[in-house]
Parts: sequence; structure tokens; C-alpha cells
Amino acid sequence: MSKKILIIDDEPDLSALLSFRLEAHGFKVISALDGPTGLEKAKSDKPDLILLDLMMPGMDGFQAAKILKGDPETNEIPVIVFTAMASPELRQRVSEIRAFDYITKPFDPKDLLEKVKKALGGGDELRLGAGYTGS
Amino acid sequence: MTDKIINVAIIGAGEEAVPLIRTLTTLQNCKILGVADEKKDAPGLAVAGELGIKTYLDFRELLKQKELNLVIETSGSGSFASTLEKLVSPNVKIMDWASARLSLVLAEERERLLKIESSYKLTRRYSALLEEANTKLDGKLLELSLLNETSKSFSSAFDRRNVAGFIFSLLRKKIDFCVYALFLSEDQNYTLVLISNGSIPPELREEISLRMADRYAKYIKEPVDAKKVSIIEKIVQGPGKAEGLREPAIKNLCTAALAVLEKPLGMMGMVFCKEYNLTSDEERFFDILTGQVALFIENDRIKQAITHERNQLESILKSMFGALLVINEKRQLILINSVTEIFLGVKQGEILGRDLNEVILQDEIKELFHIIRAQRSEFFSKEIQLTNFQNGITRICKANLAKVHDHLGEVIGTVLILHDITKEKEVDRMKTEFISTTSHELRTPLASIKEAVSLIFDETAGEVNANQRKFLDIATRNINRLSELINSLLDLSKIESGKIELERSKVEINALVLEVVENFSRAAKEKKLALKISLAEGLPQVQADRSKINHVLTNLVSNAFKFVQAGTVTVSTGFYGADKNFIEVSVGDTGIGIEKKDFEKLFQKFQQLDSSLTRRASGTGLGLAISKQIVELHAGKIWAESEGLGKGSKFSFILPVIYEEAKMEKKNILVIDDEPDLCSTVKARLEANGFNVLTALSGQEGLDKVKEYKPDLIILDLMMPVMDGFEVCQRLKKDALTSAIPVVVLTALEQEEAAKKALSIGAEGYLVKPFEQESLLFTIREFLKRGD
Repeated sequence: MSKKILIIDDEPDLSALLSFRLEAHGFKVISALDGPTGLEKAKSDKPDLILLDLMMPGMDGFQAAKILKGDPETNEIPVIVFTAMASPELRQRVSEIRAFDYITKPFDPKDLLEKVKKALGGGDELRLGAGYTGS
Repeated sequence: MTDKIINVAIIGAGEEAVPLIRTLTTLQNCKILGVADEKKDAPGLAVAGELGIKTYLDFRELLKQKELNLVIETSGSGSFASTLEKLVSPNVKIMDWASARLSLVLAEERERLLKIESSYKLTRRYSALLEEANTKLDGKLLELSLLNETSKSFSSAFDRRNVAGFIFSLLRKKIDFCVYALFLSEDQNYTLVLISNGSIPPELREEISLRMADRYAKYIKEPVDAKKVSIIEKIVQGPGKAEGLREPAIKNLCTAALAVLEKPLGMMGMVFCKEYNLTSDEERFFDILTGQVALFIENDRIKQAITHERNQLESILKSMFGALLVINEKRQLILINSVTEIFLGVKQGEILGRDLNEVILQDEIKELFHIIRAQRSEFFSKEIQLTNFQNGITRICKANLAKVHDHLGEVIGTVLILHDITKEKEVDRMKTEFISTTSHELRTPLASIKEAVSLIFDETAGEVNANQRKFLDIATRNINRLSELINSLLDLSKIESGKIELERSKVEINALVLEVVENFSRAAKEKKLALKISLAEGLPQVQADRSKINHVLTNLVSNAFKFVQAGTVTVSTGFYGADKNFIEVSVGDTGIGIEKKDFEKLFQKFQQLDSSLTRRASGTGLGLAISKQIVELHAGKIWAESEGLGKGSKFSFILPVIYEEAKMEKKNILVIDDEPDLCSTVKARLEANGFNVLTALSGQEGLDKVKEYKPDLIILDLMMPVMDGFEVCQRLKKDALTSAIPVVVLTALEQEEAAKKALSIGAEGYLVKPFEQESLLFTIREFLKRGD
């Protein structure tokens, strides 16, 4: 059975591009354009992985991640976050929300696929420190 | 009245004679030669005897007296009188008792009248004297009351022109002059104030001015040009009318110099337009007034100078945009400015002169004064948050404190200046936000472009032909270039706004070099360049931000690649500096080299050398600028060397080596105090705040534990038996192995002197018992921070 990936990102272009690539690699992809919709779909569709953009208007990625991790129905799903800026503070915050990993935009498709595979390959969410392969 | 004494003899000393005798005795011009009576027990004889008058039993004896002028016989018989006549010389008068009595009464009366007359004359003389004295006294009283009035008026704020008017009125009460002239000199500016009852004709004015200037010049022996004197005329309703003004010509000018302690202030004078001779009294009065006026003028001058200086100081204080607080050595607030009132919400009147500990003031402020007092160094700086008591406005302030010394070096107070940096902090925050927003806005569309291109390029969306691939390749390269540019710009803006924080860790330089070189090995092969490394052995690790140094090295190597057509790029590492306290990394190439004139431009932003050569090289011109910033943030240096065009170049940077052991997370504190209770409470408190605490109950035990455990900070009680805190401190500071450990001494309230002594032998700070746990924690954190 192919793995299901949920993309939560307010940028429709990027969402479409990512979906295309991931589907080409055999994943099933569903998407949501904002936090609340994303949370709904996470509960209803039970994806195997969530790709979450951090900078969104309204509910941002941090808030969405907190809710996901706080809800027993969704807290097991690994989350990879997208961000435009990598900084020490960011890394701190990302580890606080217990994301699996993060990817910076613009991203290297190879890098993205690697991380997705790792997240789905029975990887442990709580791999802080060693889990970070971001540069 | 004749002064001739009448000598009297009294014949017959019966009862009637007694009053006669007595009365005669009182008369000044009578002398009783004797009293005679044949009866021994005649009362008159007894009385005569009492009064010291000779008595005779035989009247004939008495009558023999040669000086006799008058005989009074009391028989009352005429025949006896004629008998007596025959017994005395013819010029002796015989008087009978009745006549005698009459004469007596007349004589008495006359005497009385004479006395009255003489006493009357005396009284008249005395009353004349009294009158004279009275007048004099009145005059004096008037003088005194006038002087009293003047000194009272002078001591209040009094305009100088009003002074002149006042003096005019005073003087006019006693002296009839026409014009009062007050000549004042102030730094070569001369003013002449003229006061009179009527207007002064111009010629008179001129003349007075000339004369006053002239006299003043003579007084100070320097020329004073009368034309330079500015004349102020005032007409005053004084007592009486100075009529002399109608014939304007100075008949007399009485002047007196105004001076205080030999410092000339001017002159004052009375102008007389008619003949007038001053009495000595009037002269004296004028003189006394002169002294008063001089004093007043000088006092006024001093007051003005003080007011001026105080206004200056106040203006300075007002225009200071910082808050200022000053305390003296007794911890009393002696100066605050208006900005302080605004920041803190207190009023000067409420807190000036009061003790710092008693007054109502923000805790943060009190804490600041407390800290600088407890430390040895002169200055202290901290960012604090302050909230105004009145209106609740909160500000972030930079606090700067400094100790103040007198000329002998004693601390006489502390100055605190606060600057409101709330706006700067806000701007900072806005910058950060801007960077983060821009970053997102630029990178997000770029991500989409890149991904879209990528999907086509790697044929996920279908086959592509050669041309399509070529164009997509171009697109990809430029996307990457754009991406790099955005990264560089954001990096630079972060560095410039101080937003970059280094994540330091222990870095093996050689390992890093190998990594970077590895990344370039393929590019080297493609460009047919030799990429060599020369790494020194035994290099210590450096504390550095690995990714940033990686960035720098990558930048240098990539630059080398850009500017080398054929040849070698060499990366080498080694020690730098005589003390080997730096590690040097160099990237050398055999490329186009750098001209001397271009060296300066190298590390500047957006500079690229000679566009013709760099057209082939890509780059933003930011790489070296960023590298320079990064290296300098590490307290290192970066530079370039080249022999000239075509002779290759070498770029090097150095990073400081820190040989110390890495800091442990938990700090160790040793408490040395002979009181076990204090040790345990302090230990409990500190451990609750994340410190490891050791205790020692004596000086010796303390020293042993210091050697054994090497704590990060020592808290040391001064008063201990056997070995006191001083000795412990001295020993610690003398020993090179322990001298760097900060020592905070504990001292009782009355023994601050002791604490200061401790500071002088090397202790870093002190705390006064009983101390708040907060103070203890704060002090410890401060000193630990400084040790880092």
C-alpha cells in the first residue's frame, strides 16, 4: 500500500509541484491550503507523513504542529516542516514542536525525497539532534 | 548777697532762744560765737552745747569777743539792750529777740529763695544738656532705623535702580541735596544712575558724568572715558523738593567710593546745586550708607553669578536626554534631574537628601547602586527595565554607573545615568522581523520556480529534448545564482545588524579543511586544476561556529577556482603567532594575482576587481565581505597577499585558540564560613538555582577544598577564628593556581571598612550580612559571567 502524504502549505504553486513530484515517486498526496483545513484532513484521512509549511497566514505552522502533537489521533504522524530561514532559534523552536526534521526553501529535490523516505521508513519522531540532517 | 559772715552772740538762752539758735545755725552767713545765760540749766545752753556752740554763764565774757557783729538779746526789755550797747563796740548791732526773729524769718526766706534760684539754674542747665542729648539720640535713632530699613531692603531682591532711588529718599530725609549719583563699574562697562526730584538738565547730567568718571578714574588710577558711561536718569518723589536743579551748576559734589575687600565697584555721590556744608554727622551717615550699598552691590553680583551658574547647570541637566541620579558616600540622594522624574515617576522633593534604602524607588535602581558598591571596579553597566510609578510607562534603559572620587582619591559618591533604549530595541526587533519576512517572501517563489524547472529537467514530467535540457540548465543555474545572492544578502544584513550569533563548538580545523576540499574535488578535475593540501600536525581545536567557518573556507577556495585558469590551488593550515595562540588557514593559488592598488577594495562589499576578468567568474562581490565579518566575529583576522598581476595570490585567516577546558554546565561554588547554619541555608538556596555547592567551616578547610576541587567561585566569610577571611583571601590571591577564582567576601553591617580592605587585597566583591538571597544570586551570576 502506498504511503499517504499530507501537504499543508498556503502556496498553491509549491503544493502542486510537490504533489506532482511525490506522486511520480509513488506516494499518494492530499493537500490543504491552511492550518485548520490541514488539521481536519489529518484527522479524517490519517496520512503517514505531514509536510508542514511554517510561515502561513492565520494559524502558522508552529501552532498547527502543537495541535497535531497534542491530539492523540494525530500525534503519531511524523511531521517535516518547511521554512525559508534556518537559524539557531529556528532549530530550537522546531525541536520544541517535536517535528521529525526540517527543509529549507528553496529545496533540493533529492534532499527532500531522502527525508521523506527516512520519515516513512519506520523512523523515530523523537530523533532530535542526530535526526537533523538540515544544513 | 554779701559773703561776709555775721558773727552773732545770743544773750539769753530761754525756751524761745532754742529755735533761734537752731535756725541761725542753718544760715550760711551767720556764725554763732556763743550763747550766754546766767541760768545753768537754760534750755538754749543745752542745745548750744549739742551744736558745738560755746556757752557762757556770764554774758560779759561773751561780749568780749572781738569779731562780734550782732548781738541778739532775748529779754525783751529795752533797758537791757541799752546796757548791752555800752558793753560792745559801736559797730556791733544789738537786736532784740522780736526783731531778730523777723530778720531771721526774712533771712530764712531769702535763703530759701536763693536755694530755689540756684537749683532752678542747675535744673535749667541739666535740662538743656538733656535736651541736647535727646536731640542727639533722636538723630541716632533715625540713623539706625534708616540703616535697619536699608539693610532689610538690601537683603531682599532689589533692583539696582531701585536701590539708587531708595538711597536718594533716605539721604534726602537728612540732607538737602539735588541729585544722587550712583556710578557702577562692571567689567569695563560703566553705568551712571541719577536720581532726583525733578528732571536733570542735560548739561548738568554731562557735568555729573564727567566728574564721577574722573573721580572714579582717580580712585582706581586708570582712565575712564566719561563718554563710555551709560547714563540712566530717574525721577523719584522724594521728601522735599530739590530746588537747586533750576540753577544747574554743581556747587559741591560729595562722593564716596564703593568697594568690597578692596575690590572697586563704583562710586556714589551727592550733587549739591547750592552752597552746602555737610555736618560731620551727615558725612558719617553718608559714609555708613556707602558701605551698605557696596555690600549690597557685591552680594547682588554674587547672587547673579550663582543664579547664572545654577541656571546653566539646570539647562545642562534638562537638556541631558538621560536620567541622572547621584548619591553621596552616605548613600543619600543628592542630585536628580527632571528626566529622572519622568522615567521613575518620583518628585525631587520626595527623594532628595534621603537615604537610598529608605526612599521609595524602583528596586532595579537600588540594586544597581548596591552592585557597584559591592565591586572593586569603578564602572558598571547593565540593561534594565524600568516602570514609572505614576503612569506605568515601561522603558528599557541602559544604566551606566561610575564611582566619584575627590582629589584625594576617596570615594565620595556614585553617579547613575540611564538612557532610554526602548526605541533602539524596537528597531532591532523590527529589523529581525524584516529579515525574516523578506527571507520568506524571496525564497518561497524561488522554491516554486526551482521545483517546477527541476520536475521538467529530471524528466519527471516527461521527456525533454537536448535544447529543452540546455535551456532548463540555464534556468537552473540562474535560480541557484539568485538563491545564493539572496542568502548572501540576508547573511550580510544579519551580520550588520548584529543579529548573527555564533554557535561555537570545538572544531578540528584539519577535518574541516578536508571536508571542504572534498566538495571541490570534482570541480578541480573538471577544470583540470591541482588541488593540494598541506596540513600541520598537532593543531589544537578551536572554539568556532563550524558552519560559518566552513562558509569562509568554501568562499576562499571557490574564489581561488574562479581566478585560476590553470595551475594549483593549495589549502594549508598551521600555527600562527609567537605564542602559538592562533591557527592559520591559507588558500593559495597560481592564478591572476592581485594588484597592490586593489588590496583595499578586496574585502569591501560589492567590489569585484576588473570586470573583464570577472565576467567569467560568477559571484556577488559579497563573499569576501561576509567572510571578513565572520572571521572578525571570531576575534580573528583575514587578509590577502600577492606578488602582483600574474603572480598568484594567497588568502589567509587566523582564529584564536582557547586552551582552556570547556565550561561545565554546572558551576561549582565553595562557601567558607564558620557558621554551619549560614553554610546550609546558602547551600540550599544555591543548589536550588542549579549550582554545585561545597562548604568549609574553617579557613584551612576552605583552602584545602579550593586546591582539591577548583571551584568557579568562592564565598568567604571574613570573621572566622584561627584563620580569618583576610588571610584566606590573601593566600588565594597570592597563589597563581587559585588567584583567578573570583572571591566574594561576607561581612557584617558594621564592618564595611573590613570589606573594603578585602577588596584592596584582591577580593572581587563583597556582600553585607544579612543579605537577601536575591543579592547573593545576582552577585554570584555577575562574577561568574565575568570570569567567562
